Amino acid sequence: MSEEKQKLILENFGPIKKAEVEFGDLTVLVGPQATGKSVFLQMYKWQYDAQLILSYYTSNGRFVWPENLMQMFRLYFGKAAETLLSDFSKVNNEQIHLAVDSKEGISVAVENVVYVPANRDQIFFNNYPRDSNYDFPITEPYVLRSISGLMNHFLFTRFNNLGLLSTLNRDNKFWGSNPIYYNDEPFIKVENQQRKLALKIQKKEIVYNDWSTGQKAYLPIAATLDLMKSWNWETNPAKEKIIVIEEPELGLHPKAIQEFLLQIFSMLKLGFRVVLSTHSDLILETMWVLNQIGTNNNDFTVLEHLFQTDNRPEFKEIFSSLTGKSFKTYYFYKEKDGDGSLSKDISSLDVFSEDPEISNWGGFMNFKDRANAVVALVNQDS
Amino acid sequence: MTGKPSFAEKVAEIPEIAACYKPGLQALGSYSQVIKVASTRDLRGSIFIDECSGIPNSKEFPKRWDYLFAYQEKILAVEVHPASGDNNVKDVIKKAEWLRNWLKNDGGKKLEVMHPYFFVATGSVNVKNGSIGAKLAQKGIHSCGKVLDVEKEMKVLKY
Repeated sequence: MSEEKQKLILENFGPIKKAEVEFGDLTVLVGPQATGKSVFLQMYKWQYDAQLILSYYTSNGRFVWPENLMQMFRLYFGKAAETLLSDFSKVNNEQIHLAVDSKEGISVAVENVVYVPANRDQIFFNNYPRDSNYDFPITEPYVLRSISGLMNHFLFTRFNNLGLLSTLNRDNKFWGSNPIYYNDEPFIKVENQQRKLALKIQKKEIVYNDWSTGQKAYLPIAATLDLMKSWNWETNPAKEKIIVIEEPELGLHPKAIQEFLLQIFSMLKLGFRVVLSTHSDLILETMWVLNQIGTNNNDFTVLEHLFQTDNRPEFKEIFSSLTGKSFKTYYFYKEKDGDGSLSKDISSLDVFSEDPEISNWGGFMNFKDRANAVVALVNQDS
Repeated sequence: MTGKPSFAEKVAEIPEIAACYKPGLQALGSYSQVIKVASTRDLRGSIFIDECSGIPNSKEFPKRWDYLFAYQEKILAVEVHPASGDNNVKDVIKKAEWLRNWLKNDGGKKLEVMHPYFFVATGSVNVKNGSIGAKLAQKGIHSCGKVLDVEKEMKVLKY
């Protein structure tokens, strides 16, 4: 794995004035809306996959090779590209260059960085994922197109001809029982000759559009993790094994977020690097715990207490495997209203830190502390 | 003497605190109500360390940790204190630092006190939620709200 790519510095790019992140085995970005977390993460993928992405467009046959930076980023960011670039934009302290045509179309289902964007529900149309080659106009970001491709691949390879999730190659440990789909498994229902994704809940067949928000938003994540676990990396042209997931907590109950984190720990054990952007205090709290274990006794099996995995013995080994891994947390923020955003390494999440952004966990603690103060005020006579 | 010494026997061997032993939770006075156990018969005695005059005073640590009490085979350290602001939290952390030193280096080293120590908050601040609870946790002190329910906390801590 190329070490230099594990650091990304982005300047004057969209909402970002300057952001700098050194990625760990598990990296979490937090921060208010529109501080550039998503743009930053997409540029992280671009570092690894620019050539593959442009090759995809060449081999697709419906797009022409870009002649300038704006055209290049339009293929990647969609319409948003128009607001991102300026004459002062820099990546890793250098001006951004136009990619050179490799003249070889390489087609890969799994790129170096697999990216699950926050607006992932938009890949579905009429209860089925859109076709990544034909159903996405150039105005939509590439990461949406690519996760749609992966979702289609999941449906194509993981479901048998009865439309049921195959018992071969799948992640039985997840699909067998989980707090997101319970014991129900997605299946393909044929209605008016159309294939539709559905769940059987209490003997009723519920099509994708009628699932809960959390069930809908989690499906591309579940499918990605399932595929990645059993992917044939020997023959895959891209080998970095990095997964980026934006806002995994969308619509999920804390118990389901805990299950998601367990899935992430198992990916770390398999050697994947994982990057998340999040507004979930449960995820941030977990980063605090991981950091505290790492800087104290290094015994990660104590996570059995936190995640209550007593009856899931496989997690003892998974937790042990976290020893020596690096856990990074970055805060994206605007210095003052109207200014571009900056980033700060808050990985220690040390509540005694003199830097308020670290001790307040990038603003996550302030409300809890004020809630305490208000409750104390209203209870002064009790 | 056969078998493991009881809490009372251990305390009797430590001159600094020998005179402070009280049966049950008597050393906690009215605060005994903040300790909840399933079997009061298994309470093996308690000490109000902060008021134990046998322990020499220290300039660095003007206040000492509040209580130790024994339940079944374990010796637990509990502090009952307000938690309304940063100064209160600093007090508790400083007291815990004193206790840790005393248990390592001085008379207390004969006692095997359970880790983490427990903090019971008086007043209405919810120390389990937010930065106060987190600060205490980073110093090895477990906040258990307004009551220390021993069985419940043992379950949380997996003892």
